[in-house]
Amino acid sequence: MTQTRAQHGSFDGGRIGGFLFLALLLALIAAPILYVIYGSLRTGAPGAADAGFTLENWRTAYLSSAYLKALWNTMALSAIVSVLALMLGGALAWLVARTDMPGRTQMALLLLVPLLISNLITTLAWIALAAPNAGFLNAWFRSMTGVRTLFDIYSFQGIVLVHVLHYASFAYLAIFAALRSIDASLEEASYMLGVGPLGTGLRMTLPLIAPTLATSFLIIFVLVAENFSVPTLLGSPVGFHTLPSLIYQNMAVTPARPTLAAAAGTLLLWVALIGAAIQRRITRNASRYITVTGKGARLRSAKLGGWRIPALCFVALYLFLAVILPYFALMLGSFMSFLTANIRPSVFTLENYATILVGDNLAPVFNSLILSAGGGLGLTILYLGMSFVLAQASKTFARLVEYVTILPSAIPALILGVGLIWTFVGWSVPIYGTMAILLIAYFLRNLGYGLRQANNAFSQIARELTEAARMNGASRLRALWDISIPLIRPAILSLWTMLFIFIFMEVSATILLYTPDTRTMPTVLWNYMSSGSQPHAFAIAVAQASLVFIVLYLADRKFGLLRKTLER
Amino acid sequence: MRNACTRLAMTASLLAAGATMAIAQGAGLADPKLQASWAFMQKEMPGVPASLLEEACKEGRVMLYHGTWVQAQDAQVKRFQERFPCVKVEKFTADTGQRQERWLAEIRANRHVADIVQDTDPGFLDAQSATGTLLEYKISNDAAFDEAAKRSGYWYASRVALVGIAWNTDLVSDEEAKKLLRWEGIVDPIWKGRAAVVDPAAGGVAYLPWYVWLKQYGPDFLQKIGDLKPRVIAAIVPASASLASGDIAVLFNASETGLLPLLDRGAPIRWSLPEPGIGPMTGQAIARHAPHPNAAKLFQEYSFTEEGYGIWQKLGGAPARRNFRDQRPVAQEKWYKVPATFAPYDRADASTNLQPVMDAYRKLVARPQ
Repeated sequence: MTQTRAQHGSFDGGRIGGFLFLALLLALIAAPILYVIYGSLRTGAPGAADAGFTLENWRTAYLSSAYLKALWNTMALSAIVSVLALMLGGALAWLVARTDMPGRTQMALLLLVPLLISNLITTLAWIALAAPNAGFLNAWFRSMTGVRTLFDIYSFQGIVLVHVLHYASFAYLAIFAALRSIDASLEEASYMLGVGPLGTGLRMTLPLIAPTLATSFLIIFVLVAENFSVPTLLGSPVGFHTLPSLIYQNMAVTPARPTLAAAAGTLLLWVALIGAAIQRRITRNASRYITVTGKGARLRSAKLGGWRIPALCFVALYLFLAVILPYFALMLGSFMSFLTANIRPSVFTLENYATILVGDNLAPVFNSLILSAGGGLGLTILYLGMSFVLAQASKTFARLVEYVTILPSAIPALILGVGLIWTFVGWSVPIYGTMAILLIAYFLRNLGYGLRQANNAFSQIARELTEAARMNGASRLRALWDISIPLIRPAILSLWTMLFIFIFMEVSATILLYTPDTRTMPTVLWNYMSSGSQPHAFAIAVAQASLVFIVLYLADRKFGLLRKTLER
Repeated sequence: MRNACTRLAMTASLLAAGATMAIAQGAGLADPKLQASWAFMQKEMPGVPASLLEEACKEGRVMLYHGTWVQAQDAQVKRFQERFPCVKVEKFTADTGQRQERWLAEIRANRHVADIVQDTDPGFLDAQSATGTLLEYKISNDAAFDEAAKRSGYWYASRVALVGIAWNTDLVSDEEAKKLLRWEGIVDPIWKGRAAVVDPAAGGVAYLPWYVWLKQYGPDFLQKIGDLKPRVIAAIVPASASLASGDIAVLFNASETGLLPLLDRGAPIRWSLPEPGIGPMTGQAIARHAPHPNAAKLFQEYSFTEEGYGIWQKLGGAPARRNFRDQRPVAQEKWYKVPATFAPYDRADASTNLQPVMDAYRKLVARPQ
């Protein structure tokens, strides 16, 4: 981002256009958040005839012990998960990216698979596996050893396990890319000075990837803080509630309390702002982390020696826990009439798949593909555009925007969905009830991640490269198109890939905003789930994950999408 | 004798005139393809004019905001579209709170999308009929519903979502199960460590038993439930799944609609519906500013005919229509018995008392960490 900031003081048409574009997007970001805040200060939803102003919702959310306890739980859970996911994801990334571990090429792709199943479905798969009395794993372990319970998923540890296994993959992807793109000559110099691999890793590599670690920490922290399905399903039996659990409850009770839910949602905004401040502090001097320069250097792989096989076992163990076990539970469950550890021939059926493979369900598949592929590409361009325009802005303004953009990711999707309804339902412009409102929801949901990834991509390009183009008479846009875009092409593909996955899996906001014409696969899954048919939902989850994997695999074969994602 | 003959002749004339009018109405249908639909209407929707059918067909579609009883709704919609191919049914499905908020936000913004709305809280529908967001329309089968199962001219009950005590037959013996035929049986110490409850914060059917228990038996009853250390499960669906899988042996506040699909699929479960019965109605109404009012009226009429009601009820829950034969296979089971009496409750009072009930539950039953 620093390569062009403050480089040119004069205003031109492109710059004004850029700022108008940015202003439009900022209005789009601010509107639903302001509606949520406005709603939280009302006795009834915005627009309700008999509603007036009140501080009661804020008093309840900010002062009652239940909400403060839930806030503390949210912070503690998010922090623990973020640290563990970064440690695990970092270790996996290092082993695959920077060592001579056997099978690392195959592992590199498989380690992305945990992201292909939504948190909700992973949670249900783990309940099927590790419910204390009838989970597949516990039943098997009991039959082998006589010990009643190997692991009880209904626990704080269970919540942490499900989250860490999911987000370690997310952290892995980011750190892998950072590790592959750092300037090898710096490490080489360290080795030449006689510093060993551990010392080089701690004193050289770790500081170089600090911005990636800080950004990943923030994003994981925010995503865990806003998630309701995992703590709600696994925490209720042990009385563990997070803010999103309480927000969900406020929307579930009759009459629903959207204004109280909105007030509770604002608590998470503060959490996100504090996280963004910490991340900002770490990445303040972005020029320290420029790694793509005009000079090439070959990456050096650490020799693991006798640790090669144990390292492979470690990665395999992660894959076993994060991929094989939950997929096994999903697959098994999708062929059962109902979930049970008492497995016998009579419980197996093909009916779940026969039911979901009907013409009526093809439109949601098509919609999901269009929104994920087309929408994902559109959002990638938007985030890159925002990042590029922000690079021309003053530092204070850029910093302010950076804070603002984390907010939509921090609001629980359910509340964001309500905020979007409140914002757009009255507009005559055809947004409400169309795919446009879904795309806006996805834009906001992924803004914190997308903009930061775009910023990181630009920040890794040395200023000297674009300066050379400008000195040769190229305009700012021309320099962007000819120099920056080709250099960050892998980063663009990486962002597009992640957005494809995120959008394909999104359900929490979609379920409030879809129409019969814009149904997606996750909404079909959700409706089966809510209707009490878990095996049907499992069958859709298997179909969904398989479809995403096939699309990514084919894209990789054709365009090298995943390879470029991993090798950016 | 002459007077009697005159009366007979007059009656015959009136009957003949009525029949002629009815035939003329049907014969007057512009589209001959509608004859089959009209014949069905004459049989099941007495008094509904043919013009409703024609106007509904002109509108061509109806938008239904319904709850998460997808299979029941899909079955009914499929048959409706076979009966009335000129009207396409579109659906929006979501949980109650989210569905309500979306619908109300649309109304407030004067953007009218929903034609038909359903709700598991009759108190909500009562309130909406009072505030004028529901269309006043009395269905032709209005008399088939008792006052408790309708607000005449506004909403009619699709079902009673019965609440019962459910158990896994692999884990609870027949002898033990006898204790579960009465509400008082759930506080027996033999259920310690074996039972679960659905958190009342899940709303709707999960909430009502807590409200009734507190009213009927007092806080001591909740305290005794808390002493059993039941597992608290966040929602009806995962609770039913846990029971079927054998992860829990007993579920104290089970929703019959969550259990039925599992029983149909062979899960080893049974349940009792103790006296007094607990069961909120699920109601259906027409939105005041329905964009397709005639199609909405036609769908509303169809939903409460013998056929439409039966199809929905077979998968959706116990019938709320008077003297209606329960279509569900479970109704033929010897162990299955619908309660003769229901716990009296005021819908508005149940909504108003949400917070006190939640507070009592959290203090006496849930174990915050």
